[in-house]
Amino acid sequence: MSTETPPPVDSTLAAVEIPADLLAQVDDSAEAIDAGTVAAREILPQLAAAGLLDLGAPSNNSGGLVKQAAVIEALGQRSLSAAFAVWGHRMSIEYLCLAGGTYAESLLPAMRSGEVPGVSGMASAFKTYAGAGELGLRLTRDGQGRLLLSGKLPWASNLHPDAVAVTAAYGPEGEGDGDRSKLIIAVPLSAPGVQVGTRLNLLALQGTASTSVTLDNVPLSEEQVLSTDFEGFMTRCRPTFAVLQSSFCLGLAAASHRHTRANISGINEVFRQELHQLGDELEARTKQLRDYAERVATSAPPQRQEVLSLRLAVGHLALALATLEVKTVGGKGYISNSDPNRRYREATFIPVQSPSEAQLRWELAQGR
Amino acid sequence: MLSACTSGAPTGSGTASAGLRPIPAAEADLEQREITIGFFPITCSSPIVNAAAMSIFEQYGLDVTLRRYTGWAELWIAFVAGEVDATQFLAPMPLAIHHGFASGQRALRLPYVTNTNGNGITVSQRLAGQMSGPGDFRGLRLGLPFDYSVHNLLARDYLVSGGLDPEEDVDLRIMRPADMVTALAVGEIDAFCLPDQFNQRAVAEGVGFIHVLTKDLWADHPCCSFAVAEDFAAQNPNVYMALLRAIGESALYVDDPEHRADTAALMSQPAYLGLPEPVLNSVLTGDFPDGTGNEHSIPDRIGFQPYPHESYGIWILNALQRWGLTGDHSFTTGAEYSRAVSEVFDSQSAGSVLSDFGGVTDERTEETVLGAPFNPQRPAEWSERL
Repeated sequence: MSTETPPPVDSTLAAVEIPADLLAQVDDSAEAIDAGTVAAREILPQLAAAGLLDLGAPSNNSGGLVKQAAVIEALGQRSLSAAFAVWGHRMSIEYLCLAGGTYAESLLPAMRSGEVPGVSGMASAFKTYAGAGELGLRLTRDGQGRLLLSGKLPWASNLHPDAVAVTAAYGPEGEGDGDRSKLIIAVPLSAPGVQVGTRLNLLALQGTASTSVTLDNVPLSEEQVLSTDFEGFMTRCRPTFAVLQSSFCLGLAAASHRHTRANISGINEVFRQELHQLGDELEARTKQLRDYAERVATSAPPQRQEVLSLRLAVGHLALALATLEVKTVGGKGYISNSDPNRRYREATFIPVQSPSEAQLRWELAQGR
Repeated sequence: MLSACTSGAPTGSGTASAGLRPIPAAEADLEQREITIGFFPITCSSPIVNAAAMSIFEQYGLDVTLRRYTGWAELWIAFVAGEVDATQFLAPMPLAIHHGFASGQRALRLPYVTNTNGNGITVSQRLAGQMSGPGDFRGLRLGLPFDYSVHNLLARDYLVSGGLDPEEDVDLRIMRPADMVTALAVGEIDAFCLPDQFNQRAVAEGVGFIHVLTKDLWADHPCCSFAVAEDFAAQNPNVYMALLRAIGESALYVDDPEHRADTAALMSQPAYLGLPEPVLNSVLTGDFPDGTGNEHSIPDRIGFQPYPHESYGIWILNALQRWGLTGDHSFTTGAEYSRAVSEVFDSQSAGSVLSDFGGVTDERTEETVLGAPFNPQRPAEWSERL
């Protein structure tokens, strides 16, 4: 058996300059963000100031998506909570840019600057799009013909009182092409009738302000309907959604790989082969992600199945590497506020987060 | 197979193509048959939609799938991403997309405008009797379909002609057109400038009255266009010309006043525009109530002569520049304007097809916009006048 240290993995997705002090700050705050004593949104204005919050928005604009992926990957190496919050925020910018119009444009400056957090409330929308669920929100009209939104978002993140959520709802009965038209809408959480659920005791990611939202006859203007072309809208934003999600999975995987690699001598030699294999896969998946990110919204886009498969694979990889790190780090890995333990807890979020592993496997099996 | 599809088709009777000349042999050799064309479900798309409804695409050997879009920003992004290679656009969009005035660039050709005129400004019934001219829009909220629309550019100049600063004195809102009649009804906006089907719907629902038709601001102005990605057109020159023939033939058919009522009936079907036939009929025949109790008969309320006059492009480019919508690009001399427009407007292909069909192909030496002459060779003179 070779005693050589396994080679480092080239995990750089793209050349993008992220201020070192910003990365150091995320490193230093990772434990506090995990515990929820610091909110992950704190990082948004600093990223915006460095021009790193709306790269490639929308639809791989100017080929910038791979750079945004690299930013989220770098954050994911330090704190999945931070990377995840940035992902949700960046996706909200994506949705608003895709839709355009005065209402979206009026929200975008404060979101591009990181001042107002964005909520990607699209879990049910993606499930519905895949044919595996129903939307939890419905629009009706009051006596004067005004739109009212009611229902529940079972889970969303960045749920701060000043945040803006983008989500999907069934349209008012009898409007649109069918009796169940589906619309993409934007709702500020400060609107009357919006109730953010109680703070949950999560295993990790406590600083991402994640819980449920109940909406009870929330008044909406027509302008807040961002799109009536549900299928088209979802088709257009899905590749970006999956590429950026895969980025934080890869970041987490790369961090666990790096730490495990430093710890592979002595009795841990028995894990060397496994680490080699996972390292090779990390390198291959990184290349794949770079390739897909570069091809989104070009004439040779990655196929839906390819993107879903990658998302599933990097989720597995992150959890496998975080588990290996815990196994090789000794008793420290079992201390709940240690970095290896945090990464392990963070990794267990990935198969649960939407699209869940169950949904991904189901979609791939359906050939959707 | 292809020759069988194409050789007999134009001689069939009971269709728009009856009696028209057969397709030249070289064009029967299509590089591919299947193509998806993007469209917006509005009367402006009539030449494209009608070509599908009357099987004119098939007669040229094309198997066309129409893909419907309801947001212009979404369509822009879909085109740039290669989701569609040929599509309807608002007339200013191809210039902006080709030259990269805003995010999302793709080289393209604009062989046709799909319609002229066909739009208007509708005002809420709450303001009935209070609107005599553009100055009365002070403090109102005006809905517009997109920044890169003739609606936006012409409405802004109309407001300026009333002594208003459109950005300071009027609340301009870009909204999805489909939402604007309801927004007008519930008081979220006070007025909108949109294709006539929305104006007519607001009248039919009793929520608005037609304040002015845009044809009275600029006679025979362009509204929407048909554009094809440069890469697609270069790789599929015969498909490109077949598309031009099909849509050109369809446009001239719809342009004929004799065919307007039939077209309205055909296109009111859910698969096409899905609009109430009386609304479509009012728009296409030009016989309509305006919501103030008056009835009008204006046969040229909308027109479908598709030739892409360079003067159209130059006015649009000039207006885009005046309103800060050309990004880093700037145009000064008439030659600069002309170069930027002719890079996009494929008047040569349009001219060759339309002259075979007897359509209008003469360039226009002057436009009259808001009562003032616009000389496309000296666009700066006109903007200085404003």
